[in-house]
Amino acid sequence: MAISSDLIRGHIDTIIMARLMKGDTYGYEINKELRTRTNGAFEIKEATLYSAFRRLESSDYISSYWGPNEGGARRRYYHLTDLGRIECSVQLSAWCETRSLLDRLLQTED
Amino acid sequence: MMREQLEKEIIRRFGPCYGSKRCREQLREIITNALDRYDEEIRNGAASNDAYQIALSSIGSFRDLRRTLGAVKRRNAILFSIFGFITTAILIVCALYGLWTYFVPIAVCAAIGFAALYNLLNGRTKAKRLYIVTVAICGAIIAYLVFILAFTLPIVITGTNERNQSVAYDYREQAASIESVSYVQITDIAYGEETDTLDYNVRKAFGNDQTTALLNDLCSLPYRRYENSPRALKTGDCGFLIRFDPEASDLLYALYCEHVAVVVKRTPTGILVSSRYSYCKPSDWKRLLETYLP
Repeated sequence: MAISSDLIRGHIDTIIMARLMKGDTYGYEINKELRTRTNGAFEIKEATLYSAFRRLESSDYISSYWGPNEGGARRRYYHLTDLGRIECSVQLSAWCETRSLLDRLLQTED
Repeated sequence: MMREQLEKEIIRRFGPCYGSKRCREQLREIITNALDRYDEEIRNGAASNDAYQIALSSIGSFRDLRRTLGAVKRRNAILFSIFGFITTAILIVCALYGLWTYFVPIAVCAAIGFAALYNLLNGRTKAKRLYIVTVAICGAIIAYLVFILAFTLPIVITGTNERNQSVAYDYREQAASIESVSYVQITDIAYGEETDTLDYNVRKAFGNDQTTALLNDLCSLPYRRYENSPRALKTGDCGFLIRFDPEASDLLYALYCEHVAVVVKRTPTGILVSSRYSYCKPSDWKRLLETYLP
């Protein structure tokens, strides 16, 4: 499903921010949730994910910190900043509006 | 075993991380994520080779990853380092030889080179193109300055100009010791003889003041850069035979070194000095002498 993959990829920043709204987490967990919630239909590459992280951090929408040592591996946790929460809300409302418009435009029956 | 292999393969494909500390930390994080993915696939029942491939492919393009993490290519890091060190070395040379004219532009180039290297190593790749253009300009400036230095340094090192100036001073003081100046041309090199084509006993004709003036003009003839080793006389050479007091050796040396001649032939009572350079033609010498003829 090429169209949906591109559509999802185009909103990756919003997807990440929406996940971080629920609480801090690390990169692997975000990717894993994406796979699980799409039943394996969509997976984001590490390169794309970390590109998004870098983008969001440079815009001060997210911040990061080293988490506790779990089983010998330290993970970097990402946290949604206040600015990020505002931006996420804006993006989510924009998405709702876009979805509503698309639904109307793609109606095949009157 | 496969986990270690996975980690090594990721490091190998990514390459050396000549970037910021953050770059190395994020690479570490990505390796941890890949290992987690491997473990997850194993738990889901995948074979170790399949799990390995899935974990590796989950990373995506390593080239994109390098760009994302701001990793600097080893080649670029080395090039910028070399540029910085070369400009610093040139700065030191300029300082040692007092070439302060070149010091400031080279110092600017060195500063830009090291600034570019510093920013690259700290992952600030946004202005990469600007740095490349700046370094290219600096490289052109450096090449130009090195070209200029190539001509300046030998003179500075040999002190030729200074010696010429002191010789000119000696010459003026000892001009009176010259007895005569004759214009000659070599016609038969085999016998080491010179044949007079024009013979003017300058001092008899003009007196001391005019002789001095003539020698002043001889020294003002155009010349190329002085070379240490005179060449041998050859047929066609022309110049002035200066007969002088044998004790006036300083004057001989002065005339030899400065402008009048490089090639010298000794006679019992004088020397033959000849112009080495093609554009100091016989006609130039003759014209000069003729201005003093009554």
